[in-house]
Amino acid sequence: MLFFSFFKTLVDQEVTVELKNDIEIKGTLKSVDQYLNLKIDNISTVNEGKYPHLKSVKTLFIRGSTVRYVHMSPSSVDCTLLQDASRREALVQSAK
Amino acid sequence: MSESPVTVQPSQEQQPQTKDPSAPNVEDLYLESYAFTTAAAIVGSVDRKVFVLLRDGRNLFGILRTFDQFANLVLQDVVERIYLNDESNTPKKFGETYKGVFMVRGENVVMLGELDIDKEDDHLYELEQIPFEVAEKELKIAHAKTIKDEKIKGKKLLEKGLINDFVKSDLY
Repeated sequence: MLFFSFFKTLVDQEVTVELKNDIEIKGTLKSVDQYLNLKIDNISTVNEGKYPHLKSVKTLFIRGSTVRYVHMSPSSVDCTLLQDASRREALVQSAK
Repeated sequence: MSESPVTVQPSQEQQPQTKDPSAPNVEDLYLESYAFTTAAAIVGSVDRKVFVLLRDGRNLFGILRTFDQFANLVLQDVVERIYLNDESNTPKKFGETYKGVFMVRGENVVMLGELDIDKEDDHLYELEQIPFEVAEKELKIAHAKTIKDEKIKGKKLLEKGLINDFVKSDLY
């Protein structure tokens, strides 16, 4: 659940989502759920050619299973905090 | 007597809230109570025109009627559209056909977008419409080529000890 919480902190921030089919979608992250499905507003595509109809899309729901990367601004991530949280989570997992 | 204004005040405050015609819309209400669930993300698009991209590369355009937590969807009045790209990967032609009602299993969904019905056809004016059957045939050839190319790529990467995660059914 760590990354779910992490993505929740990114809500309302600008992100770029790279899908497994190499297309990149930029927009404002509106919501995320436990499967890391993403809802993105005000989208723009980097390589629009393949999906021309995305121009008329207002809000987009992306299934978590098709996402390869999510790019975000470095200023919106506290790396030390994330590292600490990861280690704590790993500790909990190993104790089970 | 001094207590009465205290008890009256809250009810006065509540009344205009329930009567307010510009009360938060359904979407906002769901977002509050089901924050961060699949339901919260898609509920605003119910009964609206949406497009769905499936893992096999199909583009479906229709009205979203219901869904669940796996993103299983029921779409009404679905039109399937095929875009055909030229060598530089820009679309040049399209074909479409009416398909009726679709129940899509969530695992096959790549993305779902709500369409702006004023703008949804804009990009089509720049494209040439061809019969759906013709588009289907051309797409089949294109897919066969992708599969062949990916196989060669996979072999080459494997020689270098790398894995190419291509699945034949993922053609989106």
